[in-house]
Amino acid sequence: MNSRASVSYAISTHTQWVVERKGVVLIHALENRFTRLAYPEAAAWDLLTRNWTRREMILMLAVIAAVDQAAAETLLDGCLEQWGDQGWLTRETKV
Amino acid sequence: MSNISITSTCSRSCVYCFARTGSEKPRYISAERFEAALTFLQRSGLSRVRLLGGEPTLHPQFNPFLDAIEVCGLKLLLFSNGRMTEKVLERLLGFPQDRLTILLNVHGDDDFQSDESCNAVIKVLRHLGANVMLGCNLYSPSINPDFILALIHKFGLIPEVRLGLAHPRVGAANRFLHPRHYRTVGARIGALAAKMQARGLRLELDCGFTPCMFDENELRLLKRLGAVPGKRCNPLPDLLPDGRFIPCYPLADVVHVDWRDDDDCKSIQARMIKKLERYRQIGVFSDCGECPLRHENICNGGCLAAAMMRLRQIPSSACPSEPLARRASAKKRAFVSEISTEPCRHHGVQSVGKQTWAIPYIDQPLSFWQDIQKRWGASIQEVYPPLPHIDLPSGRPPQKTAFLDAFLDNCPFPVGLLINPIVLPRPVDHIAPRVVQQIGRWRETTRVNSVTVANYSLAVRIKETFPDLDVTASVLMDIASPQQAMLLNGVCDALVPSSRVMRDINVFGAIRQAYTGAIRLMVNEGCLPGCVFRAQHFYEMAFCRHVPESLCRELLDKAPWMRLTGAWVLPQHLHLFDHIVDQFKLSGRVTLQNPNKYKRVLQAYMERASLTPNAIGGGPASVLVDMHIDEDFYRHTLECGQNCHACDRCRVYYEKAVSEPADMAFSVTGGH
Repeated sequence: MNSRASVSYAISTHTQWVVERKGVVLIHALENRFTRLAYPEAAAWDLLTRNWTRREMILMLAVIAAVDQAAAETLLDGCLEQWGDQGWLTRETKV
Repeated sequence: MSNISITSTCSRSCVYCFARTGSEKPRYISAERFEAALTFLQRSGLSRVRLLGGEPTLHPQFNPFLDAIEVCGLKLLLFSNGRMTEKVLERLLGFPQDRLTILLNVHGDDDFQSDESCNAVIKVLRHLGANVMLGCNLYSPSINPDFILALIHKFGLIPEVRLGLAHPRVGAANRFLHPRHYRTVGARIGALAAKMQARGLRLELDCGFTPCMFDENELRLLKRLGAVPGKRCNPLPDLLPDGRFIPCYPLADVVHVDWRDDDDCKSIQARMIKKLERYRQIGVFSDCGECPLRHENICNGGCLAAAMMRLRQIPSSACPSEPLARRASAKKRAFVSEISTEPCRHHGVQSVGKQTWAIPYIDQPLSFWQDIQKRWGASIQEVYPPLPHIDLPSGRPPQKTAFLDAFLDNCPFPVGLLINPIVLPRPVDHIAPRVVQQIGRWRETTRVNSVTVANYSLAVRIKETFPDLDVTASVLMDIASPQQAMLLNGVCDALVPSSRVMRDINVFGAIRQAYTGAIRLMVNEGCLPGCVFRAQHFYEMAFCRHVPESLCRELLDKAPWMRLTGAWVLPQHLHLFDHIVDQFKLSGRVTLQNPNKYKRVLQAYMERASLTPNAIGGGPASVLVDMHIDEDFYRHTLECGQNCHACDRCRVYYEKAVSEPADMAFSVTGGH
């Protein structure tokens, strides 16, 4: 589970994925939908599946995407928000 | 088309069977449901009933079902293992022969050896041969279906063969042909197809075959035989005894649709296609998504069930990225997971010395490797196996591979891929894309630690594609000077210096200084430095099917002392390389095939115990007689500069060693 401010995210148990040569395909186990992630978003997904800490993910994403850490954080947060909206991740709001 | 499975009972227990789960209830289709199924087929405009199982002839109502089919005027395709009763055989003989086809699956010659059930199969072939088409499900790359051709001729069978791939049943643990073996199997089918063409036979390929299993010549040949791979993975509604429709057995636990009264084949198929649509995005290989054959609708990515084995999902226990297939058989694989998921360096006893080891694959059961892991796992970096599904040779003759599948599936060590023929058979631009593709496939299924290559350009291509994969410059790249080594900085993560300089510690040290990666030393190959036969020898090894004779034997008969100058180091002398070498490599795919000898030699190197040079499993140029090698003498050969024209020290040492008993001639050096 990776936290962002007061919201934490986890991969939905209904989300299946496949690592392809040039990205990742997310498939919903129950609904008839899928999406393709290209890099660097695919790398962000891969890091997410490894249960790394938010800090570790930002550092690694910065290296992979060849951006500074602030940009990597923005990239990661954008991905998390989008994937949360689309139901690939579940959100938990911390009290 | 639609299949009707009338029973889940079978008289065989094939390891690859994807129909057997024990979950389908009831085990036999009811007479009412069978009658409704015939109506369904007719409403769907289908003129042929395809009966399968289990073994359909085991249904107690089988003969009455045949009566009903005959009355309806339908044709019959019966999928059977041929082990049927006399009563069933008689009924089949009475069925209109122009409407009857029996598809009889056979595994090999052993189907026709001894027992009574085999006699029943032979009886079917004798009496119904003209209606029998043989099929074979390929569940292992070692299956050779050539035996079918002799059976067709002997019994006058339908001049057509149906080949199938054994696919995984999603959620089950049946044996299946892993996609990493597809190319190997494709080549075998290509060879079979050539024989079939010569005999005027036709070939049918069942679902899941992909065009990339075959080369261009093989594809042309298949087309001439009427077999086109690539497009046959569409839901073909199979009606189960319990009244559910499934797209196929491998997907039985993923998708099923219930039968509505007004359904016909097309409406059921449409519902299945809809349910499976999202999974069509993936293929059996990670590069299927970019494949032009997929985009041109020539191939649909192979068997969907095999593709779904690549799916990952967070299980409810929150264990990250566990493949679905592994979850399904977690109990069965529990032990395997225990020994394979942790990095190897956390197990076993640390050897003497800080270096890690690459060791050769020999064809032994898994217990052999588990023992090695237990004893020396902490120091073993990788095992290098033969590469039956990479087009390029590994620079060595073919090896036995009876246990290779089990090794790759459950290997406790990462593997190192050796793609190092001494010359590439075609320009590197032609070869590199396919090699890269095949490495990618290996990585999907196996923990690949490194790739060893002998061609610089190929190394560059591999590194560009897989920056996280260690690339090692093979000894056959012949790196013998610091300036050569510098060229590899940033390209190769490790290099094996040429055997020309292994016994020249000064050059070796200079390479160490020039090179930023790891230095790997082959400890027991034994080749002569700068051998005049080296290119020819390794060419023959890589591209011929036989193990070549030793080309250097005649030369060494004239000057046997030269064996002392070869590329080898005894276990007790490894410490002389400690300041230069990061990794050691044990050779011996040919010379260490005896498992006891393999372990003895490995143990000696791990513990740096004393061995004589004839006991290290060296190649043809190594020392063949029992003699002790004094450390001072060996150290001298590392520092002498190989000025053999002006020195006779090795000759004198050798002649003295062979003329006097070993234990009297020299003192035995101890381990360090």
